[in-house]
Amino acid sequence: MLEIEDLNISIGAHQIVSLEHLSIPAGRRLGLVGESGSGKTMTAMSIIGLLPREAVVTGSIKFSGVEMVNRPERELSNFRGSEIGTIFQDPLRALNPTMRVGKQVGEALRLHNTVPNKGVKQRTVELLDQVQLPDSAALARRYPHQLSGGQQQRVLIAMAIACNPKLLIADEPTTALDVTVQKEILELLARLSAERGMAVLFVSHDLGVIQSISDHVAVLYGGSLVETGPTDQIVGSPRHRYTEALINVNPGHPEDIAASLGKPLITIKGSVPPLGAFLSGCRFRGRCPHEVDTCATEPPITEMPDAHSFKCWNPVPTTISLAPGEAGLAKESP
Amino acid sequence: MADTDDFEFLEIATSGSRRRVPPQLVIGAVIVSVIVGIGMVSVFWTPYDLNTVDVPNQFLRPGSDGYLLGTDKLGRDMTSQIMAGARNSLLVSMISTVASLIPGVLIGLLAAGASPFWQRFISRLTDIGIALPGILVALVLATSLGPGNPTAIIAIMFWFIPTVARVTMGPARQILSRDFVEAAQAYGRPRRFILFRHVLPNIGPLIIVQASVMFALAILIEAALSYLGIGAQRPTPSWGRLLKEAQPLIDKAPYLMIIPGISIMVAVIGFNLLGDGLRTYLDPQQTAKGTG
Repeated sequence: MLEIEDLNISIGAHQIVSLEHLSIPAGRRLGLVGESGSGKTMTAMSIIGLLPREAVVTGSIKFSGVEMVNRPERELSNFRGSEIGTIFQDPLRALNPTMRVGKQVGEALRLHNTVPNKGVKQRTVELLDQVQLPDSAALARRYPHQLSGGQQQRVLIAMAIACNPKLLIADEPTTALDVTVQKEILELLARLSAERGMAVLFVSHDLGVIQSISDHVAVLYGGSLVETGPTDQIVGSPRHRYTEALINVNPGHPEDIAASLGKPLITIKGSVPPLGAFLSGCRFRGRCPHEVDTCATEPPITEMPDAHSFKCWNPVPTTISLAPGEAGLAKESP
Repeated sequence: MADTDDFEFLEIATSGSRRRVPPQLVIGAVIVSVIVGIGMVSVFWTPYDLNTVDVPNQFLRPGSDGYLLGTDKLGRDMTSQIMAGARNSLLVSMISTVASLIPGVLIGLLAAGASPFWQRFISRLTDIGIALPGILVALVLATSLGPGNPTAIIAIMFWFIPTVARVTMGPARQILSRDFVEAAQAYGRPRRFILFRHVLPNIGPLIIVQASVMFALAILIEAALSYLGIGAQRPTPSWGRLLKEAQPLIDKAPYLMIIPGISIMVAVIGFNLLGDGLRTYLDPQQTAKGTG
């Protein structure tokens, strides 16, 4: 339903995102994972055309067969909210502080004429019920800052799903929440997606979070897609060295805390280079512990069964035994 | 965020779910309603006719029998003139404030949402407007339009509109860069809709404060213009005109200056207090305490 081909986003002379291919079939959940500055949010926002004025986009993003790239603002806003819902990282900042939350949800309904004006109030309460907010009628009369972080995120989700979108873009929706609330929100999103057959593009830097919600994972590094495939394969037997590193840095699950205490945390050495400072060839070059000479040239895309593909000259052998961090992650795989 | 939550909990625990009414709002509202009341009464009734000359009773001191605030050099009752002056002051200030706010806010909002070129263009235009000395503009207008209340109103508008546009544009741009505006865009809200529905309410308290400051300032400017002879002319009653007429008599009857002076001062303070109180009261963080 969403097909991205040869997407290039650049600001000035810097290329920020360069994707060969990425797609989300209807009703499926794709996790987009990567470090800060890897271009995750840019990729997600380019779908609805919400990029900085200076950004130049080329390539193709087809949503239900409709080309979204460089479509005029007026036409894009018909898709935003109605066909494509969005939720943001910091729910408090994404809500208008001067409007009661019920009104803000109602506005979403009114604007796209989803329900007749008379039904807006009732539908608002229904939506708040659907995102499992307690005492929704009273809660609708509150202002955003009177709600807890989890409740605010639920209100945002209610706004995002108000017009029954076919695609929900969730940009780090759990990052600002604490861990227990995170889990509830993830379960809610998974349930809503399943009930409504709504596709989800889930953006996060946390592979653990991505793993618990998505069917497919796309790993982004330096604006380039380094590996993509079914979630259990990516987490269970990653091929790209960056994916492997991402899995290894995960400190493990709560039950392993006692075991992991006292052990040094594993890190990926260095940090994402600033824009324009990437080395030629593989973008991960310079930070990769498994670098070989050929890495200086652009790695080819290696296709594997089950739509699993990666771009690496010296991939992780398929028969590798699981590292301790991986074992922790693999446990929860569905 | 965590600490505002705690604070709020404390507020609810101590003061129930009531909004707190700031004291300056009460004081300001009382002063303003007294002045408005006096002005309205003066339309129907004043102790004496405004312009009836009664020379034998000239220069009566305040507190004289039957004349609470005394009489002027022709024996006209000061109480009546101050009452009617309030009416004129309020009318001119209100018309000029509203007439400046509407276009000013509109220009500021639309400019904030416009392309960088238009933003710069409007900014420079308001710079020019602010740089022109208001009194000078008023004097030029008076020579072409002749003195009177309409001239005063137009002069005050020329004075205020650039400032309002300026004061609106900056904060509006700030609000436009906030996340909830991007969210609103992501939910498919059209640009104009976002400006009026999401940006305007967020700068509302600011505009209200600006309006009250402007109202107070308009009272001062109206008085100043009338004092200079550009504003109200006899027989239109005006505090500023009373000041002008009293000036030559400052050593003979100083109360003729002091009384209108105090009237102007009290009115200005009243509107400033009202605006300040409203700002505190309308602050969403404050309004929403308790059940909201």
